[in-house]
Amino acid sequence: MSNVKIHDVVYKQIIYLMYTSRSFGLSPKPDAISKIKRNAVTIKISNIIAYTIATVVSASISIINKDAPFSFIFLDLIILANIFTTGLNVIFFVTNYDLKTFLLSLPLTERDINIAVFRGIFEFFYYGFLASIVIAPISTYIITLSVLQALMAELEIVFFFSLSFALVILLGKRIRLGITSALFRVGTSLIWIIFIILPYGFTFRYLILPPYILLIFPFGFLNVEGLLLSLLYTGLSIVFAYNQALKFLSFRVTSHYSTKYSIKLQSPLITYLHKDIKGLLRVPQASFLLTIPVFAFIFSFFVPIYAIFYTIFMITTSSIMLILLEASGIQLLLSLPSGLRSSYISKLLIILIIYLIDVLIFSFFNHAYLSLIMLPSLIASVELSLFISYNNVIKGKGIMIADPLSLLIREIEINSIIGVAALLVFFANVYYSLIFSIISLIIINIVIYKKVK
Amino acid sequence: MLLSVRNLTVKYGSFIAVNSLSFSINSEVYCLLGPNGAGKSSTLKAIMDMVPFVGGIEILGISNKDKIVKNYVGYVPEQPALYEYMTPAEIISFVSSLRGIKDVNRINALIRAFSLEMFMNTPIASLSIGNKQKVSILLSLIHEPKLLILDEPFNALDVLSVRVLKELIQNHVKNGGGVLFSTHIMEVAEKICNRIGIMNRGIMVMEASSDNIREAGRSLEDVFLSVTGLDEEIKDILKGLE
Repeated sequence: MSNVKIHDVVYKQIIYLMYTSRSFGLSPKPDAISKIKRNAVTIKISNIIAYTIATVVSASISIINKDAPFSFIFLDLIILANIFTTGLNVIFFVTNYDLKTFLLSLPLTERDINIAVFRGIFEFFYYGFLASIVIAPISTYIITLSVLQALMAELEIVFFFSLSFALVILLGKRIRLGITSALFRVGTSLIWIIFIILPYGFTFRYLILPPYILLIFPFGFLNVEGLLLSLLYTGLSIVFAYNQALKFLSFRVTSHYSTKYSIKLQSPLITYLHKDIKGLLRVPQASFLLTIPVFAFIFSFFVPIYAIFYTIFMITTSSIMLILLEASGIQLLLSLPSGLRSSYISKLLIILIIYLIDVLIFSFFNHAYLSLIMLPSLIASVELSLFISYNNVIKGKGIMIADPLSLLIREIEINSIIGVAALLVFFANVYYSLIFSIISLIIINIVIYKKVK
Repeated sequence: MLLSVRNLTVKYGSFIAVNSLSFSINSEVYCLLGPNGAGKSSTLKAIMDMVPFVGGIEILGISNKDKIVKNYVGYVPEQPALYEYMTPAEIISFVSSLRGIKDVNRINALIRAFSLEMFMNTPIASLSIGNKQKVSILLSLIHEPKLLILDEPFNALDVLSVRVLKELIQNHVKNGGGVLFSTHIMEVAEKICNRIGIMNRGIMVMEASSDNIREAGRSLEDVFLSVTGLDEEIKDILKGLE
């Protein structure tokens, strides 16, 4: 037993909670332990592969533009996306299932336990991060033959990684608090926009950077001021991440009590919608869906057609997040007479409302027509996504939200409908696309009507 | 008959959790006992149609596959399964609305009975396990079901709530309802159960009325240890500890 690393136990416990736990309605399986071990290795390997590819692609861009710090914005986005999507799930489970209590009963100091919990969380990103900080400066130097560019690229990666990690932990603390202001939750999920839009926008818009960008993105300035400010920002981001991690680990919940309450009775569908909208505002992973119209609006200024397909892709991909709203209460849901269908319809309606808001936005940019043509295939794709999740529940497999391999296969399945519909629009004609989408929609709905009750 | 279970088998892969189990319940308190892993929770989940199973299960003469039966059943899972992002007030409103409850007086009475008033606006994620369990029990009772299926309902409850739940269970049976529950607490089972079924490794190893056990002059704990073969094991363990 002396060889057991505590952080490794914490890491595997998080994986258990994320992929194997009964909390998602899963039946206990004899092969659960081997599955956890497999997932523990798969996550590390896929992390290394994803970061290595993103780093090499980023570095390759600088062959064309000879500007490594801007080329590495691609990697920065991957880091952000990875830390926010995986990170929020990891923090969600760490916070909702007090991992520290058991460890505190062991002859370990609180400091040892804090380090173990922190490393357990960090294990999800560590290997990819390591791959990037080793490959980035070497590949940058090989391509640009500039030590300064290699250094700036390295600082930029460390900065984005630390900042993303700190923000996820900051958000995670709010998850542990349970319910805070809806405004805060949506606001914090909009942090994405600041980081994704600003640098990307500047990349496309300016060849010569205006001086004020120095304060926003100093890594792009290959001079003394840029270097000093980059060093400062990177240092501050590490301190910020370190402080947030310390606060997160020592955080304790404080609750305010009141005896005033009201029981509101509504119709089943309204009550489901009410519940799911509350969930969207309170579960950060799901609240990301609310930011899609904002992205759609901003992208429409730059590349309107891209904005439509970006919106569609984000909606189909993130529709899985809505299932998180049922996660811990799946057994309660199954014990209710309304069954899964009302829950299913409520989620579909939410997606539809979000997309129709997007269509309204696209209409301001004269692209409502294309977005409406894509509507049937979008609904079919989202319904397929929801159906896969609900069917797993019906079969007693629980909600398999994030098994890496099944997630990838699922993404391909879901986006195949919208993908074929889009190809038909551009390479055949609109009517073929519509016919294909409507037939897919009808078939999926027949299956769903029979299965989801 | 309130509940009829015939030849129930539940498998997880190659592992057989429940093997050809049969029993039935009328207006009474029926207690399922068994060591950990005996198949009690799997049996209750199968009755709720939450896990795949083979066999026949009928509630009030209707197959449990028909979702109408969920109107007649209240279920408390082994671990509270609640939406963590909601407050008790919200989740009670949600379940009451879905169950078509029109009168909130009974709900308010249950909230008071379980001393939940001051936690009604607290996020469920922040509640203690005991309070989560109280919310879970309350949700199973609000629609006045004919059949209560309670998986370890006394887990983490305070003394007052244990007493309230015992009274509720007994009143429920007096009013013609039935209760099926699993527990590890022999004293509770001994006091409130009319019939007892003891499971071991997925099989019902004994079924008897509480009166019969009492008449035999043995405690339920002794009977339990004897029929599950744990009495010999305990002797060996105690010998080892000496």
